[in-house]
Amino acid sequence: MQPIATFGLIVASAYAVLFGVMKLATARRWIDRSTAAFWIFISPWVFGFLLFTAGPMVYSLVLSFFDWNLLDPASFVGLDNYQKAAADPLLGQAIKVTLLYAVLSVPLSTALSLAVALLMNTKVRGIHFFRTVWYLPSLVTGVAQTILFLWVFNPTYGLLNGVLDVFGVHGPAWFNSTFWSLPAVVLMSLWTVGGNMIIYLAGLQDVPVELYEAAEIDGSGRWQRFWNITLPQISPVIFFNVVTGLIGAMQVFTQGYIVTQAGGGPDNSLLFLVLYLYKNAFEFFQMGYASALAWILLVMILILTALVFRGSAFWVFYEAGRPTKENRVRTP
Amino acid sequence: MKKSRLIAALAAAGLTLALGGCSGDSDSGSGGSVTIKFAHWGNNEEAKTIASMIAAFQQANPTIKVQDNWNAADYQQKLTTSVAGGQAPDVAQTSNAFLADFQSAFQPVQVDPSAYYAPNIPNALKVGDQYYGVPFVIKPKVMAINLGLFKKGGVPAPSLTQPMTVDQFVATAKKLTSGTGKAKVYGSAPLWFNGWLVAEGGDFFSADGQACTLDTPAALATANLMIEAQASDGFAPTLLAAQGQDMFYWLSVDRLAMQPDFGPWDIAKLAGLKSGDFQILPVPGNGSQLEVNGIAISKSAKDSKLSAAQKFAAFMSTDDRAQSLLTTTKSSLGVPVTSTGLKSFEAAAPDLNLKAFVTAAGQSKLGASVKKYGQITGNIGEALSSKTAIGSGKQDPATVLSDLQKRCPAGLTTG
Repeated sequence: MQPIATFGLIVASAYAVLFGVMKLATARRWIDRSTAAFWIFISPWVFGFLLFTAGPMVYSLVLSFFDWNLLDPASFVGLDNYQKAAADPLLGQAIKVTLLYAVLSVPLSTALSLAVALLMNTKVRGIHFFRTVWYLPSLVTGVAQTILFLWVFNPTYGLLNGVLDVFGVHGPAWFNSTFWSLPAVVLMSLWTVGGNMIIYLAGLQDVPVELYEAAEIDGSGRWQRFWNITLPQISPVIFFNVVTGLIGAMQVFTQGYIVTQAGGGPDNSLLFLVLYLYKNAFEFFQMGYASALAWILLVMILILTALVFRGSAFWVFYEAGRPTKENRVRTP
Repeated sequence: MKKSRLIAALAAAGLTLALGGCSGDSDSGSGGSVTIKFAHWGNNEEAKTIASMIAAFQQANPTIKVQDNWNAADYQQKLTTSVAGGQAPDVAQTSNAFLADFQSAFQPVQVDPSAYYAPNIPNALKVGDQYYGVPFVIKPKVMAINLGLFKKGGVPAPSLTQPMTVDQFVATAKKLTSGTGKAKVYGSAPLWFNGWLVAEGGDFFSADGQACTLDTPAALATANLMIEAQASDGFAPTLLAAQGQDMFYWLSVDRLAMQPDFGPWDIAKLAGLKSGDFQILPVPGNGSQLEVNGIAISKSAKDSKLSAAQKFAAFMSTDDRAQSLLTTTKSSLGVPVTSTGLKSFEAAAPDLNLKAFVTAAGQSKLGASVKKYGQITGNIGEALSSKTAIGSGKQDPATVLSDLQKRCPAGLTTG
């Protein structure tokens, strides 16, 4: 049977069952018509989520207890893949590289994008042009961005070392140096601060002007206004960007993949966790082990996100005041 | 009532769609025609050559259509996932380098060893006692040289038939190196560990494929020569300087005198350069390893598809119409596997010593068929590049090779 036919059969059957259940449920008054309508209209997303997200997740969890090279039948190995991960020095290296990248790139990116947003929030002639210019690099991301930076950071012919040469500085080997490769990727990540800048800009423009006026009347300076009004007012926006940035940093892949494919990232200096997962899955064909790595990554992201959420109680402010357990969950 | 009709209509539509899909194999046309999918890898030159071979096959077999599935990169990954996803191509290009990994995905094929001019050719595609691919092209390496730079340096052109010794190669490369900085002309392209190891008389694995052989004098000599070649006063660009650069282009614009791992896929490009300025010689020392590519038939190919796949494999392997297309003035893929094919091969670029490829094919070493070959050799290359002065490291190559030997997987599965 053709895959499209199988897919069509699954979808048609699922909708037949859904309509049947909804009809029965409304006829017997288990649910009202509006609830039935809700489930019918939300169903494309629910089916999509079950088929393309939840399904593969469950499959990968099951697979993490198997040894499977994609070509031969899978064999059950229990917790072997997780035990192997515990003793895998390369996994340790991958976690180290990934955490270091997250620790360096998230604060730097947050600080730079906020600084640019503050600059772009000023009322000067042609500010829209400058905002556009700052946002433009965000359109060149992923593979294209990495290939561009392979040339920028090329030790012999690169733009950066060429500029450093003008000032008499002999630039490092960047992507080809065990020490400089990760900082180079962190620097590269700042290329896309324009995306976060837009979000900060929206947050900044939401800060009530009256607060600044009142502070000015009270004689506060620029720094005091920034520290006591701007930062607390946009702290939920910073929190959002930090959480999404952290999750994104933990899942970084493209930069490591492209740079190592091009001969950079020596001595596993760019072995990000997702790259190591990919290598195990699609280069070494150890799908079971790769699935176990995926679940280890998920747990790591959950723990780190939970820590950031927990820590947000001390620095994120909502309009209702300092966050409590309740308003952390239900923001106004 | 209306809802019931709607449900019935949806269910009917779904079933119609599903049954429509089940109603027959969409790749099998009426009137006995059949479509087979052929997966292969390669650069633009190689893909063009294969496309012309497919066209020749379809012309000879009008009832069989070959769907060209070209993979410019990550071929093994794509082939593996397509097999795992139940969408395996009916026929696939394979290589002796990774045949052992795909044994369970391919079906044994019939091969007549007498159809080929060297016993290594069919033997390369054996796993155990069975053939898992029908050979159709070989890719031995030779050395391309820029005769203009030889003349300019006052160095006599080497023999077209007798390979240079490693010492002669090094001495020649040093003589041909001149200039500094970005204007430096190099005697040789960067040496490639996998290739030069064979030139030095070594190999990654023992002949039976049961052990790694990395703590040998040949491996150490290879690593040391690579480091010497890349030194600031060396005769080859560093890996850093060569990164992102096309060595064939350097050869063609007089920045490089010798390219010691020249593959047959660049023959048409070399033939297109100014006649008499470039030549082809045997690889120095003990030559290079032999790469044999074959046509493998998927286990899932059955009935009419199997028959078509067998016809396609036979055509590509032994039919003159296909073999004569392997290297032409327009595109090149490799060296033919049949004696008759060799005649048109050598005629494709009469000014070039293409016989060096043929000689190399007969003399090249056939390595053991080892599972995870790519992963093991890739890891070795990466470790040498990271830890020694071949790349960015500083460790002693002897220590690194000894460590790699210890970590090299025991119990390698041989073909």
